[in-house]
Amino acid sequence: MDDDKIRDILGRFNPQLSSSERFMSELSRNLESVEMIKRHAAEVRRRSRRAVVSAAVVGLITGMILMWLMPYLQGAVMKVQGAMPSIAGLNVIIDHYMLISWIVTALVCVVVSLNVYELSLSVSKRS
Amino acid sequence: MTREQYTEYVTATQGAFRRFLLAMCCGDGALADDVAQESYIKAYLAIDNIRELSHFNAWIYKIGYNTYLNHRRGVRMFTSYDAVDDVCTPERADKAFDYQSLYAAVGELPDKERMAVLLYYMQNYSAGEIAELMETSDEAVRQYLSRGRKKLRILLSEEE
Repeated sequence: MDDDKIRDILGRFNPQLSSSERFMSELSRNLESVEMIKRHAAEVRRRSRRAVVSAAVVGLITGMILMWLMPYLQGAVMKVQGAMPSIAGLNVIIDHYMLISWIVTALVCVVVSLNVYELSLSVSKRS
Repeated sequence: MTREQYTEYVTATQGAFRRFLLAMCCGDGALADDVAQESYIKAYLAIDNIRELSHFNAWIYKIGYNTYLNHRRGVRMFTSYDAVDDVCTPERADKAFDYQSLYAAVGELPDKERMAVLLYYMQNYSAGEIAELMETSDEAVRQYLSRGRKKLRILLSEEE
């Protein structure tokens, strides 16, 4: 058997396939499902992006407000320090006032941002 | 490409692709149709990556080959109820019988040799195109073709 014979046998290969209409209607159904999933995924991405932006903006504003309040808080702490008797524990806090206030500011910003993110997601899910 | 254009294109070309898959699956029509459906869905999901429609044909064969390999690794548990309807029409049974020896011979070839031989003889792809499609070298494809041809000659001669 030579090369042409193999070519001839495979070239003549024309089996009866299952119904093309059925195949295409099944494919259309599958494509419709794919479209639905794609639409849903795009919607979830859009909601998530919106929530991230809201959380970032609110976190930034919170941070700015806390930084703006910092000098006033420092003044208040100084007043407390002057009015109270010298206690070792209290003195440590007052001595590291700047570091502690930065840590508290950062924590508050993170907590507020996370809450805004969750809130934004649940609001967009409901709407 | 819009969904309508895609569907139109598939409608026009699905026959050749399904015949090729049927040969790859050695006559298992249900498996061939499953692989074809999955391949077309995968292609649709990645359709934005295709620059020219002329590349689509080679690309769908590549997807079909990889999907076929994935199916071979899994175990087929059931056939859809709808598909059972036209499994056993007399005409199909006769036609399938006609090709039993061919299916048996092609089934003896390893996947890579089968793919290379079918693309070369059924779809008239060149060795270079097949190499690109199978992500291998021209030399390797020539070897697959040579080994596949030799085995087919022996197997089909035995049948005669």
